[in-house]
Amino acid sequence: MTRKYFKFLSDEEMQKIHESSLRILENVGMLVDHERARQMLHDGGAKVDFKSKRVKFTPDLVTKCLQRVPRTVIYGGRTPENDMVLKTGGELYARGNSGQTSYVDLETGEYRGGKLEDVKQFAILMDALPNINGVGPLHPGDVPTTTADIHSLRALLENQRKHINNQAFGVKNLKYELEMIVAVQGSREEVKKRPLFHNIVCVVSPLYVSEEDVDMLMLAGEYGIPSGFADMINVAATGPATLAGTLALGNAEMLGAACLNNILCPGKPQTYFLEPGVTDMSTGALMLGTPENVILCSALAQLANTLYQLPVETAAMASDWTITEEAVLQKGMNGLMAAYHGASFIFGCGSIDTFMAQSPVQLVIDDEIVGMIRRVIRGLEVDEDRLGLAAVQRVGPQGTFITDPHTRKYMRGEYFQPKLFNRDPRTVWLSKGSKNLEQRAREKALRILQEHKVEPLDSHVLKELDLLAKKADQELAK
Amino acid sequence: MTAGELLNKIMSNVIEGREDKNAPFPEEKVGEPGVKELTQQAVKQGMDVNEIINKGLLPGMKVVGEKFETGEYFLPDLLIAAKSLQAGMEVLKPLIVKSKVKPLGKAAIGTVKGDMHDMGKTLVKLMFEGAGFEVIDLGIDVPREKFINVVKEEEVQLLGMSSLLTTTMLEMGAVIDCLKEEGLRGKVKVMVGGAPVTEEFAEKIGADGYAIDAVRAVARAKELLAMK
Repeated sequence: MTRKYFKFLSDEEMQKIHESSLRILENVGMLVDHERARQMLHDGGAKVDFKSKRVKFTPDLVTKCLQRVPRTVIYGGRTPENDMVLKTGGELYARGNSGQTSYVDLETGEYRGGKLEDVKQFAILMDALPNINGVGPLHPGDVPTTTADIHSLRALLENQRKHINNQAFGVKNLKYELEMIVAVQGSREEVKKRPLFHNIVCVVSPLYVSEEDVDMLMLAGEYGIPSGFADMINVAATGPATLAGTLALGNAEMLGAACLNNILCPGKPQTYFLEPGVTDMSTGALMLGTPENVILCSALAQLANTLYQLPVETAAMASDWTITEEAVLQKGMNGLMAAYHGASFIFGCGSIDTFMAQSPVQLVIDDEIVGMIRRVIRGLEVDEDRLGLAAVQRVGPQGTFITDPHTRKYMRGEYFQPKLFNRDPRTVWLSKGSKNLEQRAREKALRILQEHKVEPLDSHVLKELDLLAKKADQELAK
Repeated sequence: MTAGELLNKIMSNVIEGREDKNAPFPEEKVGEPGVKELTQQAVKQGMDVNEIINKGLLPGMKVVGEKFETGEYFLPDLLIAAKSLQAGMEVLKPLIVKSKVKPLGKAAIGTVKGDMHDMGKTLVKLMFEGAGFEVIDLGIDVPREKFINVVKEEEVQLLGMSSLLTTTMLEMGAVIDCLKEEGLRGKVKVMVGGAPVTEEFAEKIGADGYAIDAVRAVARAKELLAMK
């Protein structure tokens, strides 16, 4: 499939933003709160002020590092059918995300604290839904606070087969989590080839990288695991109030992250990982579903694709608040526009309330939305046969195309087949119980949970995961 | 200028967020005396410190709070007004100490361990200072011991905790538990806030109060401390 693109920014505008980003990295730099990393960065060509911990990157160094970063990222699933190959111009993937603490109960609709059972339920749904390619866990409240990430990772490994977006609480937790996927994948070599998860570390806007995050980055690097260097810059709070300003700063942080990644973990691929936010001017609250979010995600995706050819992982499927109708529009607009600007991996499926809750009903709806987005960006093929001249001549004026062989040939491939959104005419819909989108999504989710079976891991792997979880609790649970 | 005119000017400059004569907004007024210069002038004219605070500075902040509640003012407006109020208080500080004007109350506030967010906490601090409280700012990423120690050693009546991450909000409950263990729970009123925090959560962890924004936090704190 050849991806087709919109262009939010003109070539000149992209250059201006890029230049601004380079100025930021050269003159302001980043605060890297890790002594050994600062030394390595210095040795790698960055200008380091060891007293202020400020690291500055010249345009030359940025170019060099960018050239060396691998452009293709393999995100592995339990088996190769579930693998993803992320690259500019490649396929569009979608996933859930991690870090929520609340869950919308599937049976009652109650918005409540998330539990380990919910991680399992969500995992089964994500495994079954065809348009979801990756998963992420919420942090359940019924396990020890300090090891919730380990327990939820385990639940994901055991109950579904797709690639995982992991969010380790710290480097000690990450060590256990890495050992868990070694147990599942069989060896460190296999993990390196097709890693079952990528771990998130952050650039804390503006321009800060913490010691713990660098430790996690380097540990993951030892195992050959790509780290998503997430950027969650917020307009007017941690980035300039103007969209152009936040684009320049966010892009600078992404380029800085590429330098860090390349110098500290050479050879490790990374995505251009965005979660730009908008700050509500009255409450200071983070927003992910506003029109400005659409612009930010799309423009940054365009930059990453066009100027740097780095695959883009972006929060274009996020929404604010919990009301379905609003969530659907926010996700649809942002997801489609980000995809059209070249995003490779859009995330936030199943997430609502600005990433504070997971909703199984919303997940089923988002699977459909992603399906529609995929169809739109697939576009159309314009070739001799499809132009259908012969068919037009056959059918002629006042004829019908319904029975023409041309229609028969193409009718199965050309159209999106909805599995959830309603196509029934009104009277039929009424006769079926006039169910709205939420009701139908709920029924579909319950049906999936009844019918869908995920092959269990081998018993020796399950035992190993259990041992690791227990060890982790012993060492880290508080 | 008469005392009355001066107080009005102080009030209107707080409302406009004009810290001093170099304030960049509104553009037409750059160069005109701001809160700092006007407060200095009031002091020179021998006006009473309490009058300057209660009839000039604080009324200005009250109007700012009202405009914020109606949505006319945004957070940046609130912050800059609070800064200009602080500028006035800085001028008055040596006189306050001399005249032994007591603060309305004493509070400590911080963002919990593991959390780097500070905008909301700083805003609450400024609003509390604007209302006449003395506030100890513990900063961000504050370990439990630091919260406990400030209650032990500083005689604060109110402890405020902020968290913006779903993963760190549980720390608040842990701090309250620590206060109980140390026999300090009864000595202080605890308020919590931040985006993932709710009234229900505050109740669940045993906090005394919760507010959804900095302006309402002041009102709630006054209720808890039985102040007018």
